[in-house]
Amino acid sequence: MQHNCEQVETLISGYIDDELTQQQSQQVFIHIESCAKCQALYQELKQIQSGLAAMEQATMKDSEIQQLMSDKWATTSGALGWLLLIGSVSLIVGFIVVQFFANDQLSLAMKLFISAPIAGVLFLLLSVLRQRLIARKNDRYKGVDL
Amino acid sequence: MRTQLFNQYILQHSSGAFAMALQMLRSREEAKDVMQDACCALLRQARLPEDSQQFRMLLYKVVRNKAIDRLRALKVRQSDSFAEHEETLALPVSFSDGGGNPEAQIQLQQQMTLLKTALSQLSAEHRDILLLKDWQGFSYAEIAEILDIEPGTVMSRLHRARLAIREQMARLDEDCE
Repeated sequence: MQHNCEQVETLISGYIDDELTQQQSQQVFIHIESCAKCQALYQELKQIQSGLAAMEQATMKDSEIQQLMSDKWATTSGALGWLLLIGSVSLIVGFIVVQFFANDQLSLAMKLFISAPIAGVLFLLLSVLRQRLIARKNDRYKGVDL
Repeated sequence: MRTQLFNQYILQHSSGAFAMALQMLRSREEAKDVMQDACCALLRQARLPEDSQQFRMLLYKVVRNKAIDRLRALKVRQSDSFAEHEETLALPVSFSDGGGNPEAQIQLQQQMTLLKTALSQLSAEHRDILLLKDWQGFSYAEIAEILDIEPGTVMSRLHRARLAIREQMARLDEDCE
């Protein structure tokens, strides 16, 4: 009987949730009919299940749900904003670089001397950005990469 | 068509998912933010399930993952502070069913308080699986999908969770006496 109890005990939750095969279900049913200890466990677990099922669920207001569905504009406008910002900054930077190198008053050595530290900072920024992007790509919780 | 279906399913299932997020985060504002993030993430998906139950499962999975992200950022997932936020675990529906024996109602209320406290003291792993099954009514296969675990693990983990909450309730009951 002891051996049977151990075997049946792990199936009791499945029995409560109606997730067992017909054969397993029958095995549990027959056992708990004849074993007071397992019958008591079954009743207790069933009571816990009903208690949890009866807990009230917090709800969202209608206006909050509507907001969930209508916030697509926020994401679209956010993306558009980034696009405009990056585009315009790139244009300005490009224009300055062209003007700088087209300037005849400075020698090539001087131009390189001035642009080297700027290029260094730029490369450092790019390497950090690259690392961040790789980390983001490998984040298992990113977006809905399920 | 896609947006229409999305809106319909969100109307159907957002409340349950919100309740779950609130259980995890214990803050209404944080839970609302997580729901917002989850909706944006779902909208970015190339394909959304056309079946309502499949969509519900995906919504819970995304909401749960987003809530875990948020908890990690906030570092507040401590069971001891869980009980302080009464709004997350409201009274059972049956309490508002007037009539009946007042003594029995008090006893029922005590049992529910005991259950709530015991639940708040469980590990996150046990609490999540109990809430998904008994509170939200997901099947074992769906829980396996949401929690990203083997289907065969669900029954044993759920059983351990039920035994743990039973043990915790007994311990709390002893302390009261």
